Amino acid sequence: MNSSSIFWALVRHEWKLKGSWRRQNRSPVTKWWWIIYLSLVIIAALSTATYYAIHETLHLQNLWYTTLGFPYMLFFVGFGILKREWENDTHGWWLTLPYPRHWLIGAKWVAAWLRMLLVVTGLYVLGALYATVIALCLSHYTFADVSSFLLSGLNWFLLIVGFSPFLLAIGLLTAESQFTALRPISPILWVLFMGGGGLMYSNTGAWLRGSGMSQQFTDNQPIIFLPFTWQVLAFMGASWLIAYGIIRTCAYVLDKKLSL
Amino acid sequence: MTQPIVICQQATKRYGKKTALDKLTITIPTGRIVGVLGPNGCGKSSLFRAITGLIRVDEGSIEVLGQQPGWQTNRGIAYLPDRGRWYPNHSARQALEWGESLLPGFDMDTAKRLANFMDVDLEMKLSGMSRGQEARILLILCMARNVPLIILDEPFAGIDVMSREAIISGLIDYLENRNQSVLISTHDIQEVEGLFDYTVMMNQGTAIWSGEMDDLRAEYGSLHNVFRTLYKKEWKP
Repeated sequence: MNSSSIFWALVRHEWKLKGSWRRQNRSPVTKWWWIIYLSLVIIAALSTATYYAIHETLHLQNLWYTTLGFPYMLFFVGFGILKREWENDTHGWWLTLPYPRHWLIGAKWVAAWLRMLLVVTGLYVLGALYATVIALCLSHYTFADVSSFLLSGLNWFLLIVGFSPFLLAIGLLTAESQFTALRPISPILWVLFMGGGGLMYSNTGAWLRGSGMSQQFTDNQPIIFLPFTWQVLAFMGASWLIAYGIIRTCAYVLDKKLSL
Repeated sequence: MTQPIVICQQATKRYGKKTALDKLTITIPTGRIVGVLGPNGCGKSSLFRAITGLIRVDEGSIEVLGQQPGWQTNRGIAYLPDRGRWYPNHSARQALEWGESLLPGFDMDTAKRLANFMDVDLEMKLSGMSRGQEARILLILCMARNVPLIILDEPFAGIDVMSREAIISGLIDYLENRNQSVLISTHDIQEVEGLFDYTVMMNQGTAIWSGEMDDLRAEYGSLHNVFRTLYKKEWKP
């Protein structure tokens, strides 16, 4: 096999959900409760949205607010995909694969990004279906509303996808720091990420305005595709470079500074 | 003369205040089945981790397959990690497919033959297996590779006594026809005695004896006697 096919074989392996021994050890009752709680939350959210839609007080774009937690989720996707190797006691197999460490960590990064893309696309399609059903069933919603809803969602998800390489890389680095010579900086990474994220969310309005998104979610003005200011795009570009730097650092640390 | 498979010279590895390898100096010849033996915490697993590049020694040097350990040398090494496990959602077949796609020298036909010999159901998920069944899959992932060096760190842990005897005798037959070097660490010294033709006895991070198994037997008798003599002090109350 050539280098490229081996790398994609690694990505394919990371892409598959391989399970967790910790979760396997939970009782089946606990697993069922998780499914029941999740179903209840989804039913409650859909019922609430539909109730407000029937009473003409639902601004469709507001539905995207439910995905505001995505940046945090992305961090934990990156964190989990690496931490699971240690949690499952499979890190010995993973780390002795005869390939450069930047391939190993890079494959996790790419697989996590692809998974994120699948989730985002799935949510977008579900949102589109829901909005279409609302427009078909309730006369006060038009297809122009659905179109605005879809366009604002697309803008928001493009923003998330654009910053996802950085968020995933930070998650990978934070997980890796727990098992390597970087352990002393692990608490600092947590504080920086959680603190930074908290600060961003506490100023959500300003942040969304800065990125050109808030008008899309709340105002009744016409929605445009890619409303972002050039600063946002510049930040996005810089975040890709930083993410690449983080992945190379992770590979270096796995190679030279393991602490097993 | 054939180049040794592993050369350690004054290799030292410390974890904080604990010294795992203490100026370890050994030369392991090529093409032998080597037992690396010693009590818990004597440095066996640290030695294997250093050989596979999982850790780096603080002082001294280690050479494997004529090079410094690293991901490049792992191309020629099949390693079964100590306390290693497998992904719970994989079936045994998926584990072997992983080996086929990512492990150089992995032979699927051999793996299936070994799985059949060890009574492994290829369609069964790891999450539904006992630790002993899981240990067999891990063993197959290593044994089915055509590589110059196989390292097995406590490979029989979790496998019940009856199956263990059958697996070990099968391994003896299997390894006889192959020109591979094998390093095995184990606590089950009596059952595996017939497997080794070379031995490294370790204690507190150093090799206290290394050489031909026949010489060891001539000097001390059975492996059980070797342990009683070489590690006598540890057993005193």
